[in-house]
Amino acid sequence: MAQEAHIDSLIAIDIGTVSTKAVLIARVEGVYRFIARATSSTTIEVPWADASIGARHALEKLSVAAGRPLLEEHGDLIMPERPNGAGVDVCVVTASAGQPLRVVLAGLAGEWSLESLRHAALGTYTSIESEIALAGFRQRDRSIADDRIQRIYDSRPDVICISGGTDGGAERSALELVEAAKIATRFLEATGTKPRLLFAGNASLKPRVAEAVGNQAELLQIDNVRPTLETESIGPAQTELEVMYAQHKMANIAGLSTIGSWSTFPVLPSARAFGHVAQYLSTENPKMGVLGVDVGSSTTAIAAAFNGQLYMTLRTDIGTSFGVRFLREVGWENIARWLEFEVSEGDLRAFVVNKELRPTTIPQDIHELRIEQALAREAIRAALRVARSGWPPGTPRFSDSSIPLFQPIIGSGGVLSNAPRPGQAALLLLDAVEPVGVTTLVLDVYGLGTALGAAAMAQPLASVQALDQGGLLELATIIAPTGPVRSRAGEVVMSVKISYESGGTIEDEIKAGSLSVLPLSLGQKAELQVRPRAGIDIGRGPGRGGRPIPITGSALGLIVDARGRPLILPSDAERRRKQVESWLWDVGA
Amino acid sequence: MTEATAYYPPETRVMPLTLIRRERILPVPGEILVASGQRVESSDVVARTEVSGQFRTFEIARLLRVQPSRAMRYLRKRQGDPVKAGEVIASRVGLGVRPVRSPVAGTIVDIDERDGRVAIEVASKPIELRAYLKGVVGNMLGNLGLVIESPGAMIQAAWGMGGESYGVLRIVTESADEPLKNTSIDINAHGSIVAGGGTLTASALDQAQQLQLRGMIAGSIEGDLIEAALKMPFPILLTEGVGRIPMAAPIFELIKAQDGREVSINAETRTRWGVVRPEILIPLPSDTRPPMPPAIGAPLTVGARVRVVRGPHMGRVGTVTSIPARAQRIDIGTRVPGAEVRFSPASSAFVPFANLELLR
Repeated sequence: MAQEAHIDSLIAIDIGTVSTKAVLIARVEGVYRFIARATSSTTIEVPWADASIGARHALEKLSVAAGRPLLEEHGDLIMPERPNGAGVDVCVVTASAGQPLRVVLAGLAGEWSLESLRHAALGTYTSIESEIALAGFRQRDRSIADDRIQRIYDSRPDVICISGGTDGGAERSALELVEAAKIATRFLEATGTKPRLLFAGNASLKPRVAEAVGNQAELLQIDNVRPTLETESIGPAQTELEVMYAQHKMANIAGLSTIGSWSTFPVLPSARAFGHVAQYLSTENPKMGVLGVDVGSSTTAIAAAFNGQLYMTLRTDIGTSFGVRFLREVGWENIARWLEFEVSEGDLRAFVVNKELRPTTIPQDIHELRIEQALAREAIRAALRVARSGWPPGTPRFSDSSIPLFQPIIGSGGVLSNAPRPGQAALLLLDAVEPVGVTTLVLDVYGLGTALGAAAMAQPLASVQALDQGGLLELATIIAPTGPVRSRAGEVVMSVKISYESGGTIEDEIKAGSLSVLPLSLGQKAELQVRPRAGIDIGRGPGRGGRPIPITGSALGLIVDARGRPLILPSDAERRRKQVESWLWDVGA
Repeated sequence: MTEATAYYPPETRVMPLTLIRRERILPVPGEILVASGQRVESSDVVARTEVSGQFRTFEIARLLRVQPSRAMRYLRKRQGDPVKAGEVIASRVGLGVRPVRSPVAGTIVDIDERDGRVAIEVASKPIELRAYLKGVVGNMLGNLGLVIESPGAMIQAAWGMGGESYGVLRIVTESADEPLKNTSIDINAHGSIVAGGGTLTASALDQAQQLQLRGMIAGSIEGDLIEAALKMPFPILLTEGVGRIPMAAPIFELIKAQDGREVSINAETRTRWGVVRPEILIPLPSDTRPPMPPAIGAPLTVGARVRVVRGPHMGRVGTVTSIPARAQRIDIGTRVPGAEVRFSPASSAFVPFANLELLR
């Protein structure tokens, strides 16, 4: 492992399903800064079938962009950095290109142990192939023994996760599930696959589970995901699944071993690295959470962190490039509702199929761009719906809000960072996340989130300083009031006053239903005074504005989102399109 | 463009003559029915096996009301034994104890003596693997499969629905942009694989079903026809994608030149984690050994033949005339790297690299 004191330069390589990114961070005048980045197509599939080819393409581009030779003649990364500035001291590698871990979840009751298993599984790159509940979930999940075995067999899982029973609680039912998993495993062995069993149920059953399984399957026993009805403990299960993903899926990515040999640390799942950034930032302000939203080509990741505790949720079946299945799930009308123009179901289907067939392509006209952004809105909303149920109770939030208070909200992924106008990225995040109170939208404009999270393994200071040195772009300060906003349509719900440090003020009265942008350029500083009307809450209690809030400039300035929560679009199609067009206009999108 | 900033686009193979090699693999080991060097027709069965994957378990100990450790002594079958539907697999004399009968025919695949449990794999119908490609058997892959080789034309399509098929190729449109309608397909197409250049229409799908076609090849299909197309009993291949996109001219010309020949098509499409592209294979006679497909991973260069795969020029084929050193602004407002592509003497455009692919 490289010594921190000797790290002058660092490269982070991320192997995504569609794109491979390389980011260079180097110490300039004693401070780590983001220097350059480059992207190339991922080459894990035929005809290349070697991830290192795409990584070298990205490094070649990065060499040109940074003006620094990075590759040896024979194609290996130059390490450590040479006196002439060639190469780098450290390389860290992340990957999300592996096929997700196929898992079957089995628990006693859908709303308790099975739900906790689901939270654990969705924390990393998994694909939940089947859920088996003995009781209390849905009628179709009441399976008799043979059906359970058959369902596990048909799912061809890599891992069978079993929970059930609080510690010292139910026994027989959990053992029934173990039995079904064991028999299915025996059958699957004949097909050349041997799933692992992960038991995360009643702790007192561990010896009996071990005895029941014997040597007929690889058994891993960990802490109960639901030790009591009131508590959830998914950390150990999540860690084990992440290790399995790294060992059995990431390791199978063709050519990753070559890139991995350059890496100073084990290859890290990309989402975990992205989550590190949210986790780090959440320690700076324990009163608020931090939300990271990463919309990738094949996975949408939600990283929510509260006071240093990270809650990851991944939907590996939702992404901007692979949307055929998602369109079926969410329904074409829910995509079309975010568009200011009319689109048919057939047109949307054509769009998502063509994008899935050629996932590296980019939109060239405004209609295609809007459809991609509409898909991203629904992808984030769908991922958030799953993520919310896994967040701990007691997170800081308004009593009437389904989403906690987050500061900041980080948007990442090509559809956001490549948005031609900052207003498009900002409105996408506002529509998808529906934040409340006062917060900041931050854009991972260089795609650094994953890189910085991974770089923290080698040199935490590099991540912190690169973040501080403008690694993330501040998009806008947001005020999103809650309370009886919608019922006062057209009425003034609050007034805002910006007092610029350089002199001068702007005052505005905000009407319910409106979306307003007040200028505050990058580098400017100001104080914000908000006076909500009776019943309107910006996080300081109904009708209370509190002390002036110091704010700094950003790409867009201050956005006051007085559209109400939850956000409801007009049901009439023509009115809705006009409304969407008006919002796009308001934020300069 | 220097080598250091080269762009490596995706590729689509459109090859008039190459050596085609296709592996034919059983889902589980089985019996191989041909030998290396043997000539095969597309419809020949080259391997067979049986697959079930359906199981029934019987808790013998509980059903016979004995301890698990004693259950096995009442078993009438051994591991690997076949079982008929209704046949007794275990019995014990005792008050109110009924013999255990299998409700299904199958094979005893597992006997768990410790738990007193027996598992039966339900009997299945045999699977027959056909040659799919007319040619000569090459390498043998143990009891799992074999390789078939043939000189011929190979075209990669963009999307497919359905599985494999083979038959006589019938070209039914005059041009690459003429829609494939019901009126394009007459009775002479019965039982063949029909190809047309333009967009596949609903009326053509109806006609194809009536004439029991064995497959369809078209440039594109409109989005609202996808559901109907997925229900067709034959495979459908689209060379361009979804929308109203004419077939790329080089593909249409190549297919048209092979009208009346036998063609093999595979519509299977997988877009990630083991990408599979649909393909059109036309075995051809060749006196000499044809060339292998060119090596992959060629950078984009001036003079390269490219196809536009997204945006206003989607589906058009042209030649790269220059690669600007600087990124260019496109309609949505961003600057992106790309190439100048000439589609005809009077028509050219700047196209982002990301929206180009090599046709080779």
